[in-house]
Amino acid sequence: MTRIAYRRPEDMTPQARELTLERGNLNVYRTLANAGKVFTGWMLAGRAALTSPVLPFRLREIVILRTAHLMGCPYELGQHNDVARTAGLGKQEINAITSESDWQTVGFNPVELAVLQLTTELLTTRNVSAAVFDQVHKALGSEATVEVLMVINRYSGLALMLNALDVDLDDTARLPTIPQ
Amino acid sequence: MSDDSFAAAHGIFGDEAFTELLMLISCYYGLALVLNAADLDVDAGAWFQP
Repeated sequence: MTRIAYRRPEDMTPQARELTLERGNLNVYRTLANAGKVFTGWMLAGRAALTSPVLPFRLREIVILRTAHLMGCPYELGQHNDVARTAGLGKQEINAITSESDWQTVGFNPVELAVLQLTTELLTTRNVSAAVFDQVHKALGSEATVEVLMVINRYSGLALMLNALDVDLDDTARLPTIPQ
Repeated sequence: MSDDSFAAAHGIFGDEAFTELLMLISCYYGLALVLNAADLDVDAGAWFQP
């Protein structure tokens, strides 16, 4: 049960309301809209992350699910279990990503495995070995590597907020695809 | 976050400032991960100007 009240879209600024409705009017956004002076900027940064064509949708969802699992965030897992299906991930793959180590053997390609290794290492040790970083960097290049780190950045930080505020998973609404 | 810790912080800050506080924690938690992973050097003489 959420610890603070959800803001109603009609009580938001026009830009905050537009961004919230674009993203499905989800509980997460209506909660964070309580920080009215920083919410719009945070939403715009999220929009850039969700619409960038640099990372394939499937790879982005792999990173998000692994991050949600390692951060112990039921809200992110609830949302992205469904979103990941629309990115082409199968149930077995999703279950593997959200397990301790099954992702290593379920059949992900070498790039996906390297990104999963980086995500796991970063979130469990707060750092990444040079060998793992270089493997991802070599496979993806600088721009996509930084975007992977930014996805981990965003969803790990978001998980802390969602867990602290105990935001309820939306009954049926899920994060929609945002037009570029 | 325990109910007691939440109640103490929320009682001091209220909805807006408490959510903003969480946004700061979120921002710098994630940024620290990026900085550690990228292993970049601290700027020799330049500092963040708020």
